[in-house]
Amino acid sequence: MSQPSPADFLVVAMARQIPNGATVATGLLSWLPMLAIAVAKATHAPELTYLNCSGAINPARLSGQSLPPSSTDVTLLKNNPYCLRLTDLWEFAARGRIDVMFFGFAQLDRNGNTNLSLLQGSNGPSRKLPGVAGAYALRQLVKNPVLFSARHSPSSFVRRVDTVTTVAASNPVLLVTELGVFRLLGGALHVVSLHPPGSINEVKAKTGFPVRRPPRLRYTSQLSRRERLALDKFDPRKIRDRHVNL
Amino acid sequence: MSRICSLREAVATIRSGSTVTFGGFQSNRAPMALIRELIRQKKKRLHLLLLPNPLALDFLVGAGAVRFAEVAFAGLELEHRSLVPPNWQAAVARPPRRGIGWRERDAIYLVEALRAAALGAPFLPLPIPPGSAPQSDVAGVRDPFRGCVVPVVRALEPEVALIHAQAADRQGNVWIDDPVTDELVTRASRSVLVTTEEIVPRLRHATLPSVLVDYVVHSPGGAWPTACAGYYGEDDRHIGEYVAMVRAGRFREYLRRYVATAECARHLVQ
Repeated sequence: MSQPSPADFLVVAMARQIPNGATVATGLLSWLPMLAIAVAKATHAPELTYLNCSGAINPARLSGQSLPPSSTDVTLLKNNPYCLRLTDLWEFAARGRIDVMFFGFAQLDRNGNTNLSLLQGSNGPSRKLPGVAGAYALRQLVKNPVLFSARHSPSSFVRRVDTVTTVAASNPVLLVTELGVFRLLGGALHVVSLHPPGSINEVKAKTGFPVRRPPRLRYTSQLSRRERLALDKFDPRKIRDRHVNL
Repeated sequence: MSRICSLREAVATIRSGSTVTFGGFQSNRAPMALIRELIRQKKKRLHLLLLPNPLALDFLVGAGAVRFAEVAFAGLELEHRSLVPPNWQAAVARPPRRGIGWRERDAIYLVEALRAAALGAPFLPLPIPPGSAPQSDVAGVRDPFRGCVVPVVRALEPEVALIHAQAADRQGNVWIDDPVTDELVTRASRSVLVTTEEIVPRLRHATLPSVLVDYVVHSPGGAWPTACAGYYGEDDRHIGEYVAMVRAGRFREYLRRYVATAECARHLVQ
């Protein structure tokens, strides 16, 4: 069996953040989180409840076949007993009904601010990003916000974000990337576990702010057979690999 | 009391300069037939209040119909790539005097501003901490019961809501299978225009009551090239072609080919 790819570890490490029985939500442009949720449900968390912002709850489309091409694909709404309203996400979150939500970003800084809005060119023109959607408020409201990135690089992990779109709601901030699992605390990135065969030097080289290693470096535990099978079932074409360092 | 009429008649009730909002969500049930008709009727200076609806935004911005856009999100997920729609990307890169005005903030502000309008209330408090929001027209007021400061957002009442639905009946009641945003924008807006896949004699269940619906237009395929649950999926190939044409500076050609007459998109549906 081949060595798992960085994307395999990213998705599985995200999936492992979801306890069995939890309610987990995804927003827009959330194909990797959707895959992680499908993997969690097929392995350690069969009783999770999944809220998809396109209106679907526990979409039937997520069991037993490969995922649709977009995280808001209309086929997710098939056989959907209740269509979520946009307002439901904030209401449920404000009332403590959403346990976990994954948040992506174009830039993250040492204070846990993220940029989803606008990249300033150093000399050239700025570049518009898709935008905040609901991430500012939901990051404040859900119980366990989890940041994720498939591009752990100095241009994404910066000293100061160009635009502050969302701010840290919890301390520490939990972060999963293709290199490892981290906590952001006191202006530094603390390693929780590195995805094998990663090195601390690689993380340091790819992070634009301080990185702290624990006295004993831990590695993310290897993918179980069920996790591998779930990845291949939901993403047989390994689209996840294309998300890493796009 | 709602009335069944043609696309042309319904859109003719919209003034240039109106504040417009949309039903549907992302690539599901965007009211594209209404948007193509807005472009054909050369409506200008529109002020858009936009819950995530990237194609609606991009068509109108490209056609020069927009003066100001309030957005939370404008991104497409196409063939596993996320992209900012091309007319919008170009418009926000232009200097403000030559481009359009725009503001981006969390959708919660627009949602609560629309909810306030729906309630007929002047403002509504938000369930998030005050002060840290990266935007301007939210005030803090003292909670008269607990004494702490809470952020409030002012009501925003759109003049027009544009909606595409699965079905309507002859009385003007409307059925929407996936009403993620549609009830909210209907209740908040002064005038509600609905296109629908089907018109039936009488619905057994309705999502929008006729009392809130002003015009109903029979328009099969009215969400194309976005999806309409239960009828057709998103036409990724066409959206890909659209993006490629706009990026190549051929948006005018796109309009001639797919927007110029109400019939020119019809044969492509399904």
